[in-house]
Amino acid sequence: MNIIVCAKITPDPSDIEARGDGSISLERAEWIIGGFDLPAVEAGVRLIEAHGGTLTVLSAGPRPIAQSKLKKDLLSRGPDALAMVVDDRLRDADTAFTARVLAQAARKLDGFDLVLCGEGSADLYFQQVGLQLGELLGVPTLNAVNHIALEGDTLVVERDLEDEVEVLEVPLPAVLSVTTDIHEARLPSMKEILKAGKKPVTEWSLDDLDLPDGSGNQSEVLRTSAPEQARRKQERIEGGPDEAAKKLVEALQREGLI
Amino acid sequence: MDFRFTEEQELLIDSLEELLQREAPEQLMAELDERHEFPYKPWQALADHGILSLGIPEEYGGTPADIQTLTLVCETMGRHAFSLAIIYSLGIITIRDIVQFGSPEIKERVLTGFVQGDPPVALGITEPQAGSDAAALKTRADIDGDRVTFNGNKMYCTLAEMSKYILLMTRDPNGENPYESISMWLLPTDTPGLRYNKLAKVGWWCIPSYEVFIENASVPLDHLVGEINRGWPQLMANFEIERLALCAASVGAAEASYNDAVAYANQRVQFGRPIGSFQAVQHILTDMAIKIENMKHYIYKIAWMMDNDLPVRAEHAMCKLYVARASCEVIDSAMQVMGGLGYTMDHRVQRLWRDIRLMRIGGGTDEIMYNIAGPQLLKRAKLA
Amino acid sequence: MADNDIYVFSEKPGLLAELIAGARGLAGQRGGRVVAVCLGTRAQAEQAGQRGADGLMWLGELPPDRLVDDYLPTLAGLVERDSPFLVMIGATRRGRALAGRLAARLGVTALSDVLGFDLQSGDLRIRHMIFGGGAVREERPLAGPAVATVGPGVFEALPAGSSSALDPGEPVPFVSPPWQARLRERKQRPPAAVNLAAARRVVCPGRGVAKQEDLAMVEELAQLLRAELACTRPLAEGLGWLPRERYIGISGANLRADLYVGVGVSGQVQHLIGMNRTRVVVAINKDGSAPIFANADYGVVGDLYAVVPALIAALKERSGA
Repeated sequence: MNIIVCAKITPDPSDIEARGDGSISLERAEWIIGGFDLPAVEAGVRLIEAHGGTLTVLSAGPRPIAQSKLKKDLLSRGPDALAMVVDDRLRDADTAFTARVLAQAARKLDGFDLVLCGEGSADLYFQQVGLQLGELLGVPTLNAVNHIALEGDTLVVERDLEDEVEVLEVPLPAVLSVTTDIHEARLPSMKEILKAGKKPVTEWSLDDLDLPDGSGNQSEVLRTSAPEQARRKQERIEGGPDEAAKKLVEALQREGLI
Repeated sequence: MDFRFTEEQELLIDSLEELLQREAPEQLMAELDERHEFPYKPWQALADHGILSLGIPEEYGGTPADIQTLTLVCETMGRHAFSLAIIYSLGIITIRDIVQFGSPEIKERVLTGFVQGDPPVALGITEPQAGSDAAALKTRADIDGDRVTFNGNKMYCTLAEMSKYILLMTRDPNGENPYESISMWLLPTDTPGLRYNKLAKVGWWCIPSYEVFIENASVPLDHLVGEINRGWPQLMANFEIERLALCAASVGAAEASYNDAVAYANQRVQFGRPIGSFQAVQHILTDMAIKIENMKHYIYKIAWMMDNDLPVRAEHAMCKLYVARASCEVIDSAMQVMGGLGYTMDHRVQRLWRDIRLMRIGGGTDEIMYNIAGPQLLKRAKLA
Repeated sequence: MADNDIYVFSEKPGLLAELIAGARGLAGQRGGRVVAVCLGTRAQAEQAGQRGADGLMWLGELPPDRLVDDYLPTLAGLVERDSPFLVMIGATRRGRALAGRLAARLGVTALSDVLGFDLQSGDLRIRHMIFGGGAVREERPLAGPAVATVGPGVFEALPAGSSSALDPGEPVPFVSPPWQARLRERKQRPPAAVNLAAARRVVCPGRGVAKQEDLAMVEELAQLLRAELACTRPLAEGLGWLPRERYIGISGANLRADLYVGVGVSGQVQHLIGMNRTRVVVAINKDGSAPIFANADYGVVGDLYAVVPALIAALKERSGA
């Protein structure tokens, strides 16, 4: 099987800083591999381990995604190769732009049977790119997949929906967005970390991709600001457990709750 | 001078930290310690993750790794799960001796199992009358045809019956020079004639130590590790790395206690303010931080020297001496900052405090470290 | 044609009703209509009309061997034909799939989990959360039709009978999709035992609770406070101690309660987003520096294993039990 797994490398959202004017900046954040994408990598690796083939991780973004340590980190988790579209024009790319870039990159790679994507990116979590990608590639595309099995030539997946689970046979090639339940991502072992630096990495810029006209952001970011904080009393109830419990009950009484 | 780690080392530390958070969380380690239970599951998790394969030849499932990497692994383990780091460090000398001096059969027997999760091979050297004066050991090996029979006592043998093997040191009483009369053997711990008496210690509760009574325990002669009467230099060959590993583990533990103390100082309010705002507490924490920096640089430098095949005879002893004392001081200071809470069994600093104290005694006492370094320093001054 | 209209779709009737309500003000500002696109029985389609929709497009009933996803070409056909200025899709997992695929077909971006819509000089603006709840982003689509997903609880549905019934007419012809996943089986889930979004009081254990058995004590507290038992995400998804419907967080339930009591909850941003529309927040945690205390009205810094039993005793004493 030829599998591509899309992974987004983003600034770590837990490193956000609030600026004086109330806007939010990620300028000083460390760039990380999306936590929701790692289970997708793991799912791909397990399919290759069970059925043979190659796994390529595909990522697109601005310059910082191409840091040597991040490449090794991705490659230390089981894939055979890494392909990256690295271009500062992808800074703050929206889902439409990203999906088009990934689709073009996927077409440039050596054909695929399956593309796996995570639930959503670590920073925006819009849960859309995988679905847009599949539609652009013109292949079956589904989300919420938490189980994949290859039975002979048939791909059987389970789709974890709110009220039920759909068990589906999916024609290949296909693009699947998988949930974090699908597999726990393996931790890279020392052996894998040492091998990572020797695996092939392909780097393209947007100019290498022959994107169709009109590819680009289809939305404009107007403002990114800190969410409104509910103002809280922040009253500390002092004393040992019994005393604190009594005081808390009194407070709840005063609030009309008991 | 580039003080940064390689990317591979950074990735390894990240991966190991995540593994330890998952498999050896503080709550579990505290529970195992209180129950005096060996951390089997976390140890197995280390094996499954390939940590135990570091430094072992690839043909036995190992992964080549330099000493700097091993140092970082021990330090990281020390910071998150000191007991695991200690167990791992204790195994370094026995496992490396087997790698270096064991026959192919012995290596096959021991190393593959270790990489897959066997507890480390125990070291049987100390005896009731032979501690720092290790060469005064009396356990004897009597060879008869193709078998060898052991008789004697070992003391403070850590792991012993929990391990599959003891790396047993014996001495030929008729040898002129004790240092040229010591031999090294692989003794399976279930050999008939072995009796174990577990010792009660003030710390290292989940890492048992034993008095071992050896009465006519007999094994085939091919259980010799290396050469007859070459046991002492063989053992010494890996004592330096072992001490460095124990140092790295200690530095990790010291840093863990520092992290606890500084977090506490920022949060504990007395006299209307966090205690970290008082100069007295800032002075204590600053001294702790300085010692941790010093210890780190010392162990990284020694590791670098070893990786570059530079002799470290005096250097490693000085490092061990400094790190053992400084880490005891740091952890003791952490307990002071944490006050009453630090003294209760609820918090981990008490466990670090109990466990770290042995570092000034085990692996070579402070006094022996002086004895190693002192003459070396004067000799070098004379030659210069 | 329909370029001031808002098309609204959800395979869940309740969510569809909420979106219809939410779309009304916006459509009104542009002088357009709210058109409900319904997949379901004729009766369900009729009911959609009564919840405030101006127009109705009935896709028919979902046959047992067909997926909701198979209706993408049908839906896209309607949108491409009519060019509404906005297509609002309920943010269920299926809804997200349809929204993404529709957006790709239309050459636009999908605006996910929108919390608020606004019109500025006729131009659509939306607001949603990013950075794991750490920030709010305002965006505007550059091209139309705009495609947006909206989750449950953002809008409040109009009561049934708010507007006159609409005649669903004949179902829109189904457009056969170019590919179909073959449905082997639907595995039913037991119905959710709790609807946290509707709970008025909640007691929420977090990672401070060491063992699953200890939840019994937290449950007792919940009962005494006449509260629902919720939890943080790790207890549901990671440890599996409680079903997924009980966790509060960004992808979990969003509370609008009177009382929230966090027991051993540290207060990660994602969890706070889910619970901080509560009127009174109480936190019990051993770690005084835990972020939850800054987001609580009343905080007890103490071991929950001592405080919760004491609280249970105090509550029992007060009620004379």
